[in-house]
Amino acid sequence: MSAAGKQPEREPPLDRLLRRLEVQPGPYRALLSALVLMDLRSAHYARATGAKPDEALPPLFWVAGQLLLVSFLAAALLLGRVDARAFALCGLSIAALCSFSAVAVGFDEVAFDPKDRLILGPRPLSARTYAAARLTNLGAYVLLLGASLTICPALSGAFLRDAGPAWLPTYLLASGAVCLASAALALLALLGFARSGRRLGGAKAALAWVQIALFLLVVYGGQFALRGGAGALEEWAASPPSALTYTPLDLLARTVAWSAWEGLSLRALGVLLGAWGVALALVYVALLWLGRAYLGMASGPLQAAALPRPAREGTLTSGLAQAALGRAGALGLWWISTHFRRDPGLRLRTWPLLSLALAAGAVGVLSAQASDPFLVRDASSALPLLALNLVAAALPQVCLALRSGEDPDALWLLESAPLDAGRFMGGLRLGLLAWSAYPLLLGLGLLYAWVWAAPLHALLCLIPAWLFCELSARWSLLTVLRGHAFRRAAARGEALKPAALPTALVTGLAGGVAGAQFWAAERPWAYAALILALGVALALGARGDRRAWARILGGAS
Amino acid sequence: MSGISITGLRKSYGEREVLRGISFSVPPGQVCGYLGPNGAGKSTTIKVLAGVLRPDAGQVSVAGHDVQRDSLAAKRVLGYVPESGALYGLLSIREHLNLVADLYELERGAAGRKVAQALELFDLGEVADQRVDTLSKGQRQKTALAAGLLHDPEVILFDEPLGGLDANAARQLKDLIQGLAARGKTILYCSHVLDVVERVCDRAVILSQGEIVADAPTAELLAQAESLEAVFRQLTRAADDEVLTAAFLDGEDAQDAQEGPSA
Repeated sequence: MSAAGKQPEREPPLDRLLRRLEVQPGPYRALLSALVLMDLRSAHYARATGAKPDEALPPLFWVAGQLLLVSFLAAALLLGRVDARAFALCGLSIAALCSFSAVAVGFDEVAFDPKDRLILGPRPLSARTYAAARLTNLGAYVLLLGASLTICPALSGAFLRDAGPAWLPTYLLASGAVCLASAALALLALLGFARSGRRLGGAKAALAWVQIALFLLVVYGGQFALRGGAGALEEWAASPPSALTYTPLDLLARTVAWSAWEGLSLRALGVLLGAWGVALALVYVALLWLGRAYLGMASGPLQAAALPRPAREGTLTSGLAQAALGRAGALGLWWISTHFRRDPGLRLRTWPLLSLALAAGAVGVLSAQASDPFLVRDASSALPLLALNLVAAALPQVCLALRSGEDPDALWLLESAPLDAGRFMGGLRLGLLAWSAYPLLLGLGLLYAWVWAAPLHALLCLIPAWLFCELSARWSLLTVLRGHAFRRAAARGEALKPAALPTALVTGLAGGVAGAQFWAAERPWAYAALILALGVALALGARGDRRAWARILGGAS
Repeated sequence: MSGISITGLRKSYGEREVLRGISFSVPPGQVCGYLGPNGAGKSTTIKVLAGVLRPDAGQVSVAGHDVQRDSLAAKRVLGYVPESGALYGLLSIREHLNLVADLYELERGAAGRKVAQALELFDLGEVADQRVDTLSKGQRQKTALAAGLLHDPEVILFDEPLGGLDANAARQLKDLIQGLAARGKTILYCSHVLDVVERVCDRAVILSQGEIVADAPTAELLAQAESLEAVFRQLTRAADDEVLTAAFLDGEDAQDAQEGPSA
């Protein structure tokens, strides 16, 4: 057959569409395949979730599972208590906030990996092609996150008294648009930050804390609302603030509620299609911005921002630390303090673990169950003692989180140094407590001093809790950390396993100490004996502590 | 003239000016050594040529294509072997090379043959299906070399290509570079290993503090001193490092050591 007789090969429609978007079809498919392949081997799962592929819980559980749980708890809390509009508004608000924060905090590297600059930068790959492949890859994650946030309210909402058969499709459409738009907005916000040359760490940490606070609010606030029985939630839902009327989320919620009752009208369909139009427009803008960001990667590294310099040498604090802890102890204190100060990931891994004690304290005060145990002898005065001692119960988990760090490869510096292991770990323990348990203990102590108007009683309650905290810290470091801190790459997936038993034991003991405090509160000699017993236990523990660390880490004791 | 052409190239990181208006060109068939002390701006120049970094000022072209205005065309004819051997750790060597072939839109059959040849050339056949993050440093570097040369580029940039390579592989790379030059390829070779530069490069450009301090055929530079290392030290030494080394070893204050014993 002659060449002239050959029919030109017809390009597949997808390729034609890609070319119209100025995307190179071949390289797009190649890059997307490579990205998906790496995802299946857990590259981004690991970075985004801080977990490893071979761990018992699938890595994505830490994101998708948490979102599913939040939406489930919120739906369970609201069902039967509020009408369809308030139910939809809460569901859509949680979906918007969680999609935004999840993409901004955990999945931004799926969309934009600085490593690409060296690997793909020299290749003939247009910026639009790179952006399209990366966005498609991110789209799969957004779909998963959106499904986690949507499925519970979509299904349970159908059982609302004022919802009909149209609830499910309208809610699915509305929630889908909200999740997509929020994810695109998160990406645009991150790219905007990157373009302005500002450091992302602070903004990402703030969003991560919003996500954690939301989770705690739903879990503990939900319990409080159920236990309170004051009907505040129902009152709020029956007459929501008028300012909400002007928000896009309320417009969507009203559309969903109205359609669920009346059936899907043309107007409702118009609102939903409009929402999808806005979401897709935001995705298109994200595509353009991501392409520009890829080109912008060639602008070179920004100058390293000046870091806050922790005091170590030549200051009063470091002088005192050296005098009290010795040189190795002061070094341990400086080392852990510097990590806490400069590593937002470490704070994110450790501080939320103290939430149980914080919630017990807050719920006690807010529900009038925080009486002075030296004056009131009923259950309401037991909760403050429990809250104070529960601070120590978080320490095994905190020590587990301390195993992981940003630079495990740098550990040779400590391993090869002739370190006084006992003193070093003593300083490290002090720093750990100063950055985790002490502020909460102090905060709760001050709270109770204010609520009871009896600072001395608060101080007396605080002393056994502090001694128990010291004991828990020593024991948790020896049993759970059992080696140098930050010796592994940051991993959230391993969370419970090695600390489960110590946590259970310390939590049980915390209950025991709180119970003993409660019993001894009306017997001064018994209270003094309790403090003495804890003090003796601490002194005995301290004697063996240095030898144990010398055995574990090697070096002088 | 095609090959590499750089005119008035400037680049700063924040307030630190790394390249101060450098200009030079490399014709086809030449292997040009690009030398300089740490932080002199060598890798920055290479990254600007590779389109990985954008210059602040100046013109840079590769095989006649302006790297800024016609970047895709420039990248199609350019091969780049980065210093760090930057690769996706979760892809296997074969997958990595296939990705590169697809990014350059090489014809499928030819790409398959080229990948097989590259695996054989760099002795990566046995580990071809192993993930890159499980490889040794030398194997990673060989993968980076294979990825840089897979599409038969006209201009090749080597940034410290010998890192992690054993003696046989290093020898093979030197032969390969000479073979590429004999076939008319333009090569810019950035390295600290001066005896290799002496043997492989026709010409050497020496950079110090963002400025070119020497640009001459290697033979001409060698005629000025006993070795390229001596030329290099003469042109780039910023401090009296022998005195500093002695002061460090003896635990003395460097300034005192430089001043000598007081009268």
